[in-house]
Amino acid sequence: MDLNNEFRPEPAVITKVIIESPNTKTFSIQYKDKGLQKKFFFLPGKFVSVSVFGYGEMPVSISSSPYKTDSFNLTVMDVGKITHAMHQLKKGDLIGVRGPFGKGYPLNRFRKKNVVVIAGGCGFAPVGSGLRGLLQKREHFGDLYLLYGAGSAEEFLFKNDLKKWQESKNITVKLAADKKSKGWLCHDGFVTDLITKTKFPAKNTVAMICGPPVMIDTAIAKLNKKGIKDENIFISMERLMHCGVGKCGHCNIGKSYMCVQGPVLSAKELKELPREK
Amino acid sequence: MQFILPKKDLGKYLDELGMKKGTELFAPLMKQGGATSFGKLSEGELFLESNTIFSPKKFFVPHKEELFEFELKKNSVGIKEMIDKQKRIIFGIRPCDLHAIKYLDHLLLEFFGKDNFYGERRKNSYIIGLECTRAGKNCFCTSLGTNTAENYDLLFVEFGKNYWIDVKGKGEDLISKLFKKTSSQKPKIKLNCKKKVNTKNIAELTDKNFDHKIWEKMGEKCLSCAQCTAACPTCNCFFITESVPFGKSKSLRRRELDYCHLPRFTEVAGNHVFRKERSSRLRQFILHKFNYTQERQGMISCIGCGRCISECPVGIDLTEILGEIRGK
Ligand SMILES: Cc1cc2nc3c(=O)[nH]c(=O)nc-3n(C[C@H](O)[C@H](O)[C@H](O)COP(=O)(O)OP(=O)(O)OC[C@H]3O[C@@H](n4cnc5c(N)ncnc54)[C@H](O)[C@@H]3O)c2cc1C
Ligand code: SF4
Ligand code: SF4
Ligand code: FES
Repeated sequence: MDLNNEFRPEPAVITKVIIESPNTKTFSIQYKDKGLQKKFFFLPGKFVSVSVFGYGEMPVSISSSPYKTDSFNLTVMDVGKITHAMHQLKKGDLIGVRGPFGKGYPLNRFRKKNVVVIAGGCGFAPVGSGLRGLLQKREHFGDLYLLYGAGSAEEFLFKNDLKKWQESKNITVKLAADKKSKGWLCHDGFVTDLITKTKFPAKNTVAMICGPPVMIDTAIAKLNKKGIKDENIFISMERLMHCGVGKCGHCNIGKSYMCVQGPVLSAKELKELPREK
Repeated sequence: MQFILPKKDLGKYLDELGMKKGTELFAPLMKQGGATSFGKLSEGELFLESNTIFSPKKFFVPHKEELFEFELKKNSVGIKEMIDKQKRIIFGIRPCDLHAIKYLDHLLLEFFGKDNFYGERRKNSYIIGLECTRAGKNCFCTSLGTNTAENYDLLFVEFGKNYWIDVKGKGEDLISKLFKKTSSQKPKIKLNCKKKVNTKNIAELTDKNFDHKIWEKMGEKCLSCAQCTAACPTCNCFFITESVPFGKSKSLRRRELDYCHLPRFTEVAGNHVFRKERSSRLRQFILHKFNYTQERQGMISCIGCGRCISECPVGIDLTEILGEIRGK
């Protein structure tokens, strides 16, 4: 048997399950093979292909800090067959992992800069990883901002961390939710409104975005209006993906494959892709 | 090594090949109902008039193939690779389809490194090419230089009452007593393809004309039935599925061909389809062949077989579309 088969999932154990919201759970994962776990390194924005044995495989972003190495987290929203099956799994259960795949957010290029993190819904998973990385090496970066929106405050992910970050002087946190939200100070509207409402410098500032397709164009336009250039805006482009290695064709846009050249692109790269309808 | 085989002995030769132990023989057939495709000789009449409607790609990138069998145990998971080890001889593959295999070899053996599943199928297959003497009505191989090929084990070329045969590498295993050695050169054949594509700077041209009105116009006609992509010998996009066969405890993971003409190809959560318009999907199919694979692999991935034209129920013809973009 050829262990180098790129489609072969590596067994990994769920070491912890955290309930984030009514439809989202975070799973802590550890490779069964300790050597593999030791070697596991990723940049926020990269994703793994997760096998729920018996149900199939799906791409999921890594949501834990890139500096945490003994295990990694996957934050999964229950939307269909495989995600639902994953939600039934418990501590000690086995899954399969391939990856990590793709290009992440270039955290090194953010050094000495102000960073605005913008997340919509489940998009908080990958940029949340980035944010954890930034906070862990806080001294290397300028001002940090988190603008995060979800359907309702109940749907917020990482609630304990959010509370902590809200109280921290290390970062400015602004939240948005569509409905009135108990216990949270929220803007009643979209996360993209927060871009206009929040004061942050345009000079020496980069933005890190992940969210549903409708949010992305608006977010870029509003950032541009504030004076942030396309080359300083980084977006995670989540297309339908099956293989993660550039073979299945699903994530192909023009001459690029989002699982290889993406999912993280600068707004400049994004605008160079053909506009499809 | 070159040989001669009288045409009247072809049947005998195929019978010989069919008797090889542990090996299956496939050839182009006319099956019941008139469809032409590759199959075992018992499944239809040998069909050598023109190329088959269904390409031989199914032997290398099948519509559906098993990748793994998983058995979830208490503290471990059994993973079995489902490598297809069947030995096959495929007789009668036309030069354009040999070029399709060459493209797939480049993609799945070189560009990405060896794909185990594809690689084993290729290794276990003998390929017997058959040159064309007449162009079919929708062929345009001469525009793409795919009317002759080199990647075969044996090559048959019709000439008078005989076949002239070239043998390479492992093709030697298939030399028969019916063959007579010859020192004659490969017979020259001139094909007259009625359809043509001018491929000069085609990538730049189609980049510049990404929003050409022809896409919109043809998009309105297109039914998104995906017959063209299903017929295409180089289309190999796939999705990965998994199921537990009825009454079994182990699950099977498969790779199944998927088609960019279908809306589901780019559908994500919230029913958001990235290529929602038929025109976008038709353009994806054609530009992937003539533009995008040039960027990635340095080759055009259409081999000019014309199957997509023959199979299209509404007469969409990529040679006309590309001609219109160039302004003829
Ligand atoms: C790079 C990337 C990172 C992702 N990160 C996360 C994450 O961190 N957390 C999370 O919960 N989800 C993430 N997703 C989405 C996740 O992959 C899909 O929700 C999952 O595949 C749905 O599988 P399912 O069987 O449960 O749903 P299905 O029953 O197959 O379908 C439910 C819905 O999900 C969409 N979908 C199905 N397969 C995919 C796919 N492969 N990619 C995108 N959408 C799909 C379908 O179009 C459908 O609308 C990510 C997707 C990508 C491409
Ligand atoms: S695009 Fe059409 S002509 Fe070209 S290889 Fe595919 S089916 Fe044949
Ligand atoms: S065969 Fe014709 S109608 Fe069907 S998807 Fe292809 S171009 Fe469209
Ligand atoms: S996910 Fe298969 S090509 Fe990108």
